[in-house]
Amino acid sequence: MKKNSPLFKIIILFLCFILFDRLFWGELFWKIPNESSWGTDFFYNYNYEKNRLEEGSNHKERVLIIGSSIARYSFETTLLEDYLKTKGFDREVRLLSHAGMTPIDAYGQRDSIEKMKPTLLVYPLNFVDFRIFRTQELFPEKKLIEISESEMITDALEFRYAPQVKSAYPWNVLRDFSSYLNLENKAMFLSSALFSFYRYREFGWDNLKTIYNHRFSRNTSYFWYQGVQIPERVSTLGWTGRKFSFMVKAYMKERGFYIQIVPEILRNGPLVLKITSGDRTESFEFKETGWKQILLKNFGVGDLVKAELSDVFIPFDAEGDRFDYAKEEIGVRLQETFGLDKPNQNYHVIREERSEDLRFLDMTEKEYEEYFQFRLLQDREKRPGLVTMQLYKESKEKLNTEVFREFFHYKYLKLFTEEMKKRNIPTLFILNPENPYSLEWYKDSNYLKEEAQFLKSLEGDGIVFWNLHSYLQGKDFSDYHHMTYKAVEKMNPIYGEKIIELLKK
Amino acid sequence: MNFTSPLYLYFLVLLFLFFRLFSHFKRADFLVEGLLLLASYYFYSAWNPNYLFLILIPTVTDFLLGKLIFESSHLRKKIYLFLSICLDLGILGFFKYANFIIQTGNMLNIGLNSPLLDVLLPAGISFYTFQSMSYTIDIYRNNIRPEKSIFRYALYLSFFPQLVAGPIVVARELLPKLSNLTHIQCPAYTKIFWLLLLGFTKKAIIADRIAPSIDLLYAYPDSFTAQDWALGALGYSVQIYCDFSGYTDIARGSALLFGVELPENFLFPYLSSSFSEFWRRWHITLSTWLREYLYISLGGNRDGVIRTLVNLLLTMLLGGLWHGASWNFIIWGAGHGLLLSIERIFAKWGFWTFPVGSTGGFYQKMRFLTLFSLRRTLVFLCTTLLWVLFRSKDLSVSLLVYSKIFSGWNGFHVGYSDRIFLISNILLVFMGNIIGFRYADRISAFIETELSWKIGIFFIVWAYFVLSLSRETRPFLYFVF
Repeated sequence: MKKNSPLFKIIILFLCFILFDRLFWGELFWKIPNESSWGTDFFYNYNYEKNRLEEGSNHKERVLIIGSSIARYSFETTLLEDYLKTKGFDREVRLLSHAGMTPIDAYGQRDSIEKMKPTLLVYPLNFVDFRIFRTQELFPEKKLIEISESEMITDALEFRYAPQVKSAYPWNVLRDFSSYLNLENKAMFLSSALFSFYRYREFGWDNLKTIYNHRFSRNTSYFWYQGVQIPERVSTLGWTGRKFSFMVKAYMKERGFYIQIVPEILRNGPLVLKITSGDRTESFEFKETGWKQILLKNFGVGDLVKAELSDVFIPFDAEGDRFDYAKEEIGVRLQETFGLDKPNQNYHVIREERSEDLRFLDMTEKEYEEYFQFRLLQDREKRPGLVTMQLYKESKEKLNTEVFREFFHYKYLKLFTEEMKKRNIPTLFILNPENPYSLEWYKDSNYLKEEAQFLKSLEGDGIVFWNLHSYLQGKDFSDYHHMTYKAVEKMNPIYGEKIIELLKK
Repeated sequence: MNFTSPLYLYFLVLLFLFFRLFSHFKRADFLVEGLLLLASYYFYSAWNPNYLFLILIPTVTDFLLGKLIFESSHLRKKIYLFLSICLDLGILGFFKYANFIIQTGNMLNIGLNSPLLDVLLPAGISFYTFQSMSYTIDIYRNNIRPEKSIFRYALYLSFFPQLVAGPIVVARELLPKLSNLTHIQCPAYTKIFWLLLLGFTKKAIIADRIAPSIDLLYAYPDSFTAQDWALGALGYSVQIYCDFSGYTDIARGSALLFGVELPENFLFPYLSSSFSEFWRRWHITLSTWLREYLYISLGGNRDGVIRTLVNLLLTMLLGGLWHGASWNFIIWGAGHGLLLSIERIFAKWGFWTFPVGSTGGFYQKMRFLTLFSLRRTLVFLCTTLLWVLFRSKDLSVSLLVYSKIFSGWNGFHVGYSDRIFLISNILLVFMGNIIGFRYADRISAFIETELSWKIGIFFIVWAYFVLSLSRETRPFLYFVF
C-alpha cells in the first residue's frame, strides 16, 4: 500500500482515533476527580469506583461490599470500618454498588472483583435483586415455571433496562451471553468493548458538568445535596426545615450563599429569614421566587449561626416539582455544596443522614402504617412513579402461588458462587432485612422458604449465607427494602460482628 | 438497522471491503451487483424478513410489465401500464391505507363497522413503490428502455442506502449508475466522510437530542404555555429537518462508497423565500417525482389558472396522503397546496414579486432586504405551523396545540436547560444553514478535493466530538412513511 494512498491514510487515522480514544475516555477521563453525588449518575460513580478499586494494589486487607441500592442503603463504610477497628480489625471497607446491580451483573464482573483483591466479599440481596417482578411483568399470564429463561436473560442485558451492561462489562457480555444477543446488540457490545467513548458517553459528561458547576457557577442546579451536614438535617434534595444552623465559611463572606424561594412559601406573604448568633441578628425578606443570594454582614468566618424561617410548606400541598406525597414541613433549598469552601471529592460512596430518615422516629406503629400506605401505595393511578412499587406488591402476592425455580438470576448467583469458590474469595451472602409490612404479603409462601433453602445450599468452601430477612421493624425502612439511616446505624455493628466472625476464620 | 447504530457501521465497512475485493475479480460487475443485492436484502430483512416477499412483488411484476410495455403497441401498452400502476398502488394502498379507509368508514357510520386489519406498514414501501412506478411510466413515455437484468432491477428497487427513506431516484437516473459499479478506481473519500459525519451530526447530535423535549410537549399537549409551544413548534421544524436531511446525507455518503452518487434531497429549505422555492429545496426527489409523474400527468399548468390551481391542490393533497394514512397528513398536504395556490395567484397579481437582487441606493437595498427577510420568515413560520399536523398523533391534538400556541397563557414550562438547549439548537441550525447557503461553492470545492492528512485530522476530530456527544440512537422519523 502506497504511503500517499487514501486507504493508507484512513488506516493510520483510524489507529490515531483508537489511540486518542483510549487515552481520553479510557485513561485521562478517570483521572478527573469525582465530585458527583451517588444520585448524579449511578453508572458513572460505579465505573469510577470500580477503576479506583481495581487500580489500588497497596491497600490494607479489604472487605468489599457489592450489590444494588440494597447494599448502598444498608452499609455505611465509615461506620463499619470504625466498628471493625474498635474490635481490633483494621480493615479497609469499600462499597461497589449501583442501582439495579443483579446477580447477572455480579457474575459478569467476577474478573473485576478478583482484581480488587477482597479479603471478604459481602453481597446483601433482597427480593428486588432477583427481578422476579420483571419476569411477572413481562409474562403476566404465565407461571414462573412456564417462562423461557432466555427471554429473561435477553431482557436483563437490554441497554434500556440495564445500562450498566454496556459500560461495566461489555467483553464479558460478549463472552458469556453471546447466544442470547441479537446482531444489533452484539454490535453494540462490541463497540462498547472496542471504543471507550461509546462505553462511557451516556454518563461521561455529568461529572464534568458538576465540576464546572462547582468551579464556575452557583451550585444551584444539581441532583442531590452534598454540602455540609447540618445539625437539623436537610433532605436529599437539599430542603431545610423551619430552622437550620451552620458555620459561616470564607466563601459565604466572599460570594455569599444561595437559597431557593419557591411560590408555596410565599403563600402567606413575604418570607423572612432571621439569622442569629449570640446577640447578633440579621434578617432578610423575600417577596419573589428564585435562587436568592445571601451576603452576611454581621457575622464573621467561623461563627456558628442559627437560621429561622418565618414560614414553611408541606410538599403534599405544593405544585410542580415540589409536590410529593410527604407531610413533613420544608422551608428553603440550599445550594448543592452549601457550607463547603471546597467541594467534596468521592462523596458518592458516603451516606449521610437526611431529614427523610427522621420522619418516622416519633410515629406509633399505626401512624407508620398509615404513612406507609400514603407514601407508597395511595393514588397509584395518578402517580406513574409508583408503578414499580405496585409491581413489587403484586409480584410478592403472586409468589404465594408460585413454585421456586432455580433459573435466571438465581442460576447466575449460583454460577457466581462457584466462581468465587474457584478464585478463593470468601463470600458472605445476606438475605437482607425487609420491611415487615411488605414481607407480610408473602412471608408464609413456600416460594420464600424454598428460596432461602436454595441460598443456604450455596454454602461451603468459603461461602456463607446469612438470613436476616425479618430482622428489623417497619419504621426502620423508608420503603419495602431500603433502610433509614437510623437502621443503618443499628445494623452496621451487627453486620460487623458477622464479618469479624468470618475474618477470624 | 438504523444508520446511526454500530451494526450499520460494521455492515457498511465489511460490505465496502468485500466490494473492493470483488472489484478486482473476473466478472466483477456481476459479483459486486450480486453482493450489493444480497446486502440490500439482508439490510431490509433486518427489520422484518417478511418484508422481502413484499418487495419481490413489484420487482418481478414491474420488471416483466416494463418489457411488455416496451414491446407492445398503443392500447396494450396502456393496459400493461395500468396493470403495473394498479398493482403498485394496490400493494401500497392495502398496507398503508386499508385501515385508514376502514376507520373513516366506521367513523362516518355508513353501516360497515368492519374490524381493522392486522397489517404492519412495511418500512420504505412508499419509497420503492414510487421508484418502481417511475420505471414503467418512463418506459411507457419512451424515456428509457427496459432493464435487461432482473437482478439489476431488483438492486435498483432495494439499494440499501436509499431503500427505507429515499431519496427517491427514478430508474433513468439510478439504473445506469448501477450498471457501472466497478468503474470507480478510488472513492471520493473526502465527500463520503463529509456526508456521513454531517448526517450523523444532524441526526444524533441535534435531532435525537431535541426529540425528548418535543416528545414531552406532545405527550401532554394541554399542559404547556404558548411560549413553550412556540418553542416546541420551532424545535420540531429543526428536528424533522435534521432527522430527515441527516438520514439523506448518510444515505448519500453510503452510496458513494460504492460509486453511486444519489441526488441532493435538501438544499437549505428553511431559507426559502417562497412556498414554491421551499418545495424545490425540501424533499426534492419527492417533489420532483410528484411534479413529473402526477402534476404534469394531471395537466400541469397548461389548461388555465383554475385547472392549474386544482392540479396543484390535488398534487399536494396526494403528496400529504403519501406521507401517511391520516387526516392530519391530508390537511397538511392541502395546507401546502393552498399556500402554493395563494402564492401563485399573488404572483400573477404582482403582490408576491419584487426585483431580485439588491442593486440601487441604500433605501432600495434596505427595502429589498426587509421584504426578502419578511418573506423568508413568513414561509418558515407557515411551514412550522403546518409541521404541527405532521407531528400530532391526531387532529384533536393538532387543534389543541394550535389553540395553545395562540392562547395558552397558563401552564407548565419545559425545563430551563431544555429550553436553552432548544433555543441554542434552533439558532445553531439556522447559522449552519446560512453559512452553508452563503459558502455553498467553497464547501462543494472542499469536499471534491482528495483526502489529505489535514482533512483527515479534521474529520477525526469532528468524528470524535460528535460520537462522544451522541446518545443511544432513535429511529429516523421518515422510516414510518
